[in-house]
Amino acid sequence: MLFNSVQFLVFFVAVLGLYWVLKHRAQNLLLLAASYVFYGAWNWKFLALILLTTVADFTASLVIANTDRAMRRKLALIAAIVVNLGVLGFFKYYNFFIEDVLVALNWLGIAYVPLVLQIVLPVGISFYTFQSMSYTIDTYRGEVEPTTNFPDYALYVAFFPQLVAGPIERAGHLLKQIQTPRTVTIERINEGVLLIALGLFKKVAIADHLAQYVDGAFDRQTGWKLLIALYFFAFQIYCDFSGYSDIARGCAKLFGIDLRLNFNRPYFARNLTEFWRRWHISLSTWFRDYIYRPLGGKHARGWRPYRNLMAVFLLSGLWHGAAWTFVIWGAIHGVILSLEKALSGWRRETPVHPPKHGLNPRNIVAVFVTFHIVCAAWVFFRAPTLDGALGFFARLVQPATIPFSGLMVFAHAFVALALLFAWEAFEERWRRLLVKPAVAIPGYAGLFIFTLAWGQLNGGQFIYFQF
Amino acid sequence: MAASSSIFSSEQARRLPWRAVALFVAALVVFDQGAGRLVERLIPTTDSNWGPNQVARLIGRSEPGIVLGDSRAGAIAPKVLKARTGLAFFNGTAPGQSIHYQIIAFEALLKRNPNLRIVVYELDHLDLTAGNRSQQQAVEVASFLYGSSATAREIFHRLDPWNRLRFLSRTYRVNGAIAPILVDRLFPSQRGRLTSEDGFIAHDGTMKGKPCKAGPSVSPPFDAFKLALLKRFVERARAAKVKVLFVTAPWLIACGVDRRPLFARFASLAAEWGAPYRSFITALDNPADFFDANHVNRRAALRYSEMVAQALAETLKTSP
Repeated sequence: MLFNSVQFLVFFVAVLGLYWVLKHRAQNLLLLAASYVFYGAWNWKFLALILLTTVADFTASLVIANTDRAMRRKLALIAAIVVNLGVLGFFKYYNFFIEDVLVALNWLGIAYVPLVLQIVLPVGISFYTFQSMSYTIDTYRGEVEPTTNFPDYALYVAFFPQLVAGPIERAGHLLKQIQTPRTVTIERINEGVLLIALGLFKKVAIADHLAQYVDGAFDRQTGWKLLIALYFFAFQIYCDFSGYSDIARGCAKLFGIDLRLNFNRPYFARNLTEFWRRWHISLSTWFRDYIYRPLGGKHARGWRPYRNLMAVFLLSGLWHGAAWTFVIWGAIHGVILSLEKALSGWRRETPVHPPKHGLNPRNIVAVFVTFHIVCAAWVFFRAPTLDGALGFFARLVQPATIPFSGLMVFAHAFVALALLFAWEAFEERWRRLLVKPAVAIPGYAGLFIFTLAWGQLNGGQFIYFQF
Repeated sequence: MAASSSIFSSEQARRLPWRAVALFVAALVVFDQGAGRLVERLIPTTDSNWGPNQVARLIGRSEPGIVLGDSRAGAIAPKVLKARTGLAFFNGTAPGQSIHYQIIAFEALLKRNPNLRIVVYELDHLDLTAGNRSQQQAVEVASFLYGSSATAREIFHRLDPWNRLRFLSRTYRVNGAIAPILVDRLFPSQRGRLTSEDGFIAHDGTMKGKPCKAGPSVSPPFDAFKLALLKRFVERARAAKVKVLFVTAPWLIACGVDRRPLFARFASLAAEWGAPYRSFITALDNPADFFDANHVNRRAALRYSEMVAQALAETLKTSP
């Protein structure tokens, strides 16, 4: 059930209508049932996986909270992590590692035929596994008081607006809201409808139009026509993913629940550090809190801070997909970020203040350079194989002789991108205007209708579902 | 920003901001109907290669002869048909379309074109078998006729029951139409508009020297709904005293799937219905005559058109 489908519209309106006539406890049970229906609509068999993850972390956290024995606490934590990573590893990485074992053994001259399984990747598994795992780790650290209410916890893991593509929530934020009665304000409704309208616009009116050009050009075009495909892909993946996050946050707001901000105009970033504070924020902060800082962060000795950075970005690459292209994508970010940190005096005692925001030549150049570094890395993210990625760069320097078709795709894409830019560049001003109902009501209705008229309505699912 | 004003909460008596919700829904309906109607009116006045404009262009024609079919029909040259029969023809080829589209367009044409005497229907496997999802969605270019055509409604509801809900929106029915309208008006010299006055489309290029291999011989089951629509097409034509000639275009069987058994099965059905059908599937077999494995090129288009014209002349003479 996709957010951009009429089925979801009916489902959501029905759940929302029922939700606000129920009391708090019943609301939670309704949301839990709705979340399982939502997830089961993809493949009901995978509900067992969510339940397994949920039970494992719920039980482990209670064990951790109810014992003072360090060894028992540690064992409970390890058991939960093994279950989480075991499920994730089997479904997402089994064949990746098996194929690499095969290559290594063949290289050593050992003819071994491993068991390659036809494994279907459960949608959203990386998102809910990380979310559930963070709860157990936070409990172990004493940062979260574990709940004894299983339905509340199950809802925290499976809350349907953010179940399949985030934002990856933390118990201290989402579970706390689930446990307390919700209140809806006119501001929250306003923000919720705005986010839903904006998210649908990004997905349907931008990303899916860009995809039409990108899919046809990425493996075929040359020269500047290929460069356009790369720029388009950068905005396709941004609008696709941030569009999903916006809709998720908007839907949650209408239930009286706030989800974390996941994107903050990332292509306005002036360096990679800033980019990662604006792009997929819930994942980058997850890696910061559960990998980078436990390894020592930037305060570790010698070269270790750089090792820590690389570890985070290599794992981040692997999180996105079981392929070397994703690992290389992560490595590019890790290496350039390390260089950037080293050159900027990252580890000095007195912090270096970043230059002021604003439209000045220095910022424009910085945004331009950062955007192109990010785009170069996207090549590895998008290419199905390493050869495909290298071939992309080879075609980029060839003359653009292959004719392209689809003037309409360009017309759709450029107008929609111009509107997105107009929104993002002046977002604060728009938001101030939209506080007034006389502007907001026709404004949102107009945006919905424009999306319906302008969008690519059969564009398919969100890219990040596959992760 | 003003302090948050609590409207309703989980534990209190709840009161939705009904006035705002009602206003919002009203605005949605008004915008939807207004924008939808406006675009519907602009579609027939727009000249582009985009699907709905092709439908609008087709149903606005007044020639006594019309060619219908998917991309393979484009190579039937109206001027060749006219030279043989004396009747003016327009080629309403619509790439990727099947009987789902053709019958909606044909019924609209019957309403608007009192001169219509004969239709050449270039029949493909897409007209006979189920096809994939994108082929089923192709007919959505005719969705602006949803309100005026009972057949369109029947087809859309059949393809996806959720369409009953989607098509309540008038804007949904004209989705994607605004950009071609704007491009047509803002950049009148741009490429991308209809390529010839009479609808004839043929490509240069050849399969000669290109590697290819023959595929299997296939005869998938007929799609019952499509077959019923084809039969209805024949009945509607008969009722309006319009003759129909079904033809199948040449295919380079040496370079693709052999669908002769499928069309042989259709030939029996067409005979049952009393509808003339001529298959030219094996009429050309030289790779030099093909643009790709299943489209004749510009060089062969005129020869193919001659064959159709010959069959057409016989149909005009003999069929009731």
